Amino acid sequence: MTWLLVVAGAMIGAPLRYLTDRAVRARHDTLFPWGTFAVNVVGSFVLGVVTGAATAGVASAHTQAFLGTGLCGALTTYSTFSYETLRLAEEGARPAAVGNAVASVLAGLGAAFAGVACARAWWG
Amino acid sequence: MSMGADRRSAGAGEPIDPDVGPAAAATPPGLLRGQGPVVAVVAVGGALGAAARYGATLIWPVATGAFPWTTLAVNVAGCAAIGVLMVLVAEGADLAEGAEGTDTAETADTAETNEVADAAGAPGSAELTEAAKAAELTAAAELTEAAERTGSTASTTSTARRPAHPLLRPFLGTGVLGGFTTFSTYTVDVERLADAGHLRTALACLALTLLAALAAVWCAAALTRRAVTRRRARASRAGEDR
Repeated sequence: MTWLLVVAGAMIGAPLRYLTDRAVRARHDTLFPWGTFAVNVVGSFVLGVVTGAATAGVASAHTQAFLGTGLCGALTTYSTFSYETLRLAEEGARPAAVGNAVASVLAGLGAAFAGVACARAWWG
Repeated sequence: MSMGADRRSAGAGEPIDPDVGPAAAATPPGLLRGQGPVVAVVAVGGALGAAARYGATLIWPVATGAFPWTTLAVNVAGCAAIGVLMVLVAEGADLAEGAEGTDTAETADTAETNEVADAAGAPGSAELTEAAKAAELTAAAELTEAAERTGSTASTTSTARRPAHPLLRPFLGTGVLGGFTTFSTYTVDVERLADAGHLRTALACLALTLLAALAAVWCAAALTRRAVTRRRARASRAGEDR
């Protein structure tokens, strides 16, 4: 059952990441990978909320598997993030590469903290 | 295309973002138009990747408050795999012209980044080695095939290469590897550790994952580029000898 929930969540999360990236790219013609940045930050926030909800006892193990491991896990990505950072550095955009790495980590971490804090405020 | 920088690196014709192919970049808005097959393979690939990640957390569970080695290993292995994949699938066509320039620069850093990857710890390196082996096998198979093909048609250029299936990259890169690796678990793991008062472990996880992931993708891409270039040079020489 848990496996199915993880798979179902991922089947939503992964296409959502692809389509978000396409939508962002169609609107902003920049070198900086905003699409991946956006999904990673949003996914970190949602997983923070889910984890906070689980701690507060309002999210079941099934909800965590579906929304957390499946959806947020597949919505966010480390492989694309690191490859894009590498490509930025190789294209001569070193400040953008460093900026992408630092900003993604800080914003993602901030979003995770904010998500947990929101869950505490709502269900704490 | 959004590329403003000099086209001097191996994959210069490629967008920075591996998720967007040349076709996607050329087609404006209409978000879903003609995207059915891509969305489908991304969904299936993402499900496979996420299931593999979930399986890894069952096989190697991490106690609360302990260093999250499993997520680190999954992310580093996925980063190494995308480095190999993107060079083979996306940059293949450009390698003949550009590889020599970037190869030298990257070689110098290989030793250093290897050390970082080793520092990632036992489960990390085990996973990494496995991923690297699998990738090597795929690469070897592809290259042998390419060499045979160019060898048998020695009159044409030795760098000729069959283009990868257009759905291969979205399936493996965006789908499987994107679903396998995770950024949210990484950030929430760090938050959980910090929240529980394990500040040192939290900071170690934060820094080590980032460094090991970047080192993995860098090494994997550099080594794959070098292997491809070498094979092609050999195939080219074999073609000339005939």
